[in-house]
Amino acid sequence: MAGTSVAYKCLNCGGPLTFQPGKPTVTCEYCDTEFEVATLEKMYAKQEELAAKAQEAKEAKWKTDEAGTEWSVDEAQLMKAFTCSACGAEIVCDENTMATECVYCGNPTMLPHRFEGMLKPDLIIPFKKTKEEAVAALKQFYEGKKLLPDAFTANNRIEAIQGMYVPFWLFDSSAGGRGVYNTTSSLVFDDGDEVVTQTSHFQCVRAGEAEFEMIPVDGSTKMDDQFMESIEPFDYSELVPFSTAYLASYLADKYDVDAEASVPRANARIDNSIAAELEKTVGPQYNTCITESCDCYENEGKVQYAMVPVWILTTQFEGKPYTFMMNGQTGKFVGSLPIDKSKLHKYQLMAFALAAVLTFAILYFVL
Amino acid sequence: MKRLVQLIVLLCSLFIMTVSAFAAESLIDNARLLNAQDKIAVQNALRQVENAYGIRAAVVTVKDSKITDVGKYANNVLDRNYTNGKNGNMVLVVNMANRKWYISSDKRLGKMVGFKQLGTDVASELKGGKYKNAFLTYAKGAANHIEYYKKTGKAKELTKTAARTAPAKKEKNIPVAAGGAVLVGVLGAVFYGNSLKNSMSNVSFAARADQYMKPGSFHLKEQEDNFLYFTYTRVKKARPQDDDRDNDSFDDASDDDHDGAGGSF
Repeated sequence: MAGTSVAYKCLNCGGPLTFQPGKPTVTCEYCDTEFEVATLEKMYAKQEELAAKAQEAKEAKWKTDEAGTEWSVDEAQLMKAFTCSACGAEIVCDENTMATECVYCGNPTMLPHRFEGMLKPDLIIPFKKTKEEAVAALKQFYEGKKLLPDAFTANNRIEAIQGMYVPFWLFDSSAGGRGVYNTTSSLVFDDGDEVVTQTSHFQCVRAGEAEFEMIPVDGSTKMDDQFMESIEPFDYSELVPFSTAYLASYLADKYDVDAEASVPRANARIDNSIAAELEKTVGPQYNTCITESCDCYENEGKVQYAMVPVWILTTQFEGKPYTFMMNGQTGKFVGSLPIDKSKLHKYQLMAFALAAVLTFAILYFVL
Repeated sequence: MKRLVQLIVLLCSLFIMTVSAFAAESLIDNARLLNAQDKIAVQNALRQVENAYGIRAAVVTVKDSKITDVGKYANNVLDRNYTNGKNGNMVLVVNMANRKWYISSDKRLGKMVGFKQLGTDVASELKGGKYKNAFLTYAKGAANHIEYYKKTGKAKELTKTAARTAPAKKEKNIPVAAGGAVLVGVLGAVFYGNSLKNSMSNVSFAARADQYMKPGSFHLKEQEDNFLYFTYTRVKKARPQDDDRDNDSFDDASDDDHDGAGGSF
């Protein structure tokens, strides 16, 4: 029986194949043989098809036992087992995992069945930053953080940082808006014993349009939107047509928020940009400008489904999760660190003492 | 006979000049600032100084809006009415029409009296509407300045007030300095604490999509600026204040024959 997963193996030595960041090919770590992405895709297409069918058969059987198993329907939907094609071990992962690594043999593993019934990504940005670079960036992120608890860096599993392709929707749209602004300009002149300020009040109307390209909105509920927007921007000039070969040795999720559901987030960003552009045109001749109203609209545009590379580490500290992410293409690193309150109070006390002493000295001699 | 007539005319002229000079009262209160009692008190004080030092120290008050340059006016008053002081002449002119004052003197008294210091003391009383006190201060001040000159050989500089008030001021400002220090300290601690906390996270939503806007694609379709109405705010100009310690704020109508200083109150 065919396996339910596909491992990309070297056609030369049988070793696991890994996509190396920054290279256009997939390389065997053992014999250094390089393979074109297109070649591998062709080679493994049939194998992926068979693996998908095998998984369907397995699930069909598994579904029949649903009533008699100890798992609820929801749990069964979330936790699904796949067979590693390299060592035969069962890999358990959640319903959205498209690619992972076998925890027993470390073999990079595709889960082709997961691609079915869903859209195939149009584009992908391959990883450019390596795990070593991600670890170095994380260490650098810790540096100079005065409030970082000492125990935090000692306890977190920095090496557990994982590369992951995150599903994104890229929205192209033309949009426009119309804003009404209440503005004033002032003229000051002398009138005998008085200084007179003459304020002219205007109502300014501005309407305009602009075009937007590839506004990214992440299509995964697991990924925090705030983190995803923090690691922007991506360099879209390095987008390439999607191939599963790029997923080798990385985790990959399929989308669980569809394009329709992602539209409001893209629109909100578009509206804010249009409003800002319109307000900019009101001009420096006015002293004040208050927005009375601004109505924006978006014309229907193109949406593309893409996978973008992210290095991610989530670690626990004092019962709370702390997540760090690095843009796998540009290296932009973001995260939130825990705060040691005793350190915070110590530094605040020092700042108070320094500011108070200096101020007292200055005031004492100046006043 | 002709010579005798000439001598009599000369003597009469001298007599008339002398009488007219002495006839000019040391206090001429045209602006009616003083009551009868105060007038007597001021006249006595002025006479006392004049007799003690052989000078003329006069006070003239007017209320005349045509007098725009009170310094020049005071110089003229001095030249016209007060020239017979053995050791010098000075006059304080106060014009109530524009609340200006000026002390004019000849060059002899100019060496002895520090007019800016004396004027500062007088102006502080004038500002409070204490005209009698102002004129008494003027009389006593003139005496003090001449005494000071006799002892030191130079006129009093404008340092007396500042020197006298400095120590008290320093004590008064300690609570202010301490209060300010606590306030700035608390603000500093809050600001520094917040900046440290902010440095622990660089995660934030992207509010706008500016970087995804096609360059040059934004264009205006409608642009209207409609004038609605005017509003006016009027603020009274602040009246120029004399800074008693600022030498530049004094009016100066000094020339080859006159010294002095003046200002507003």
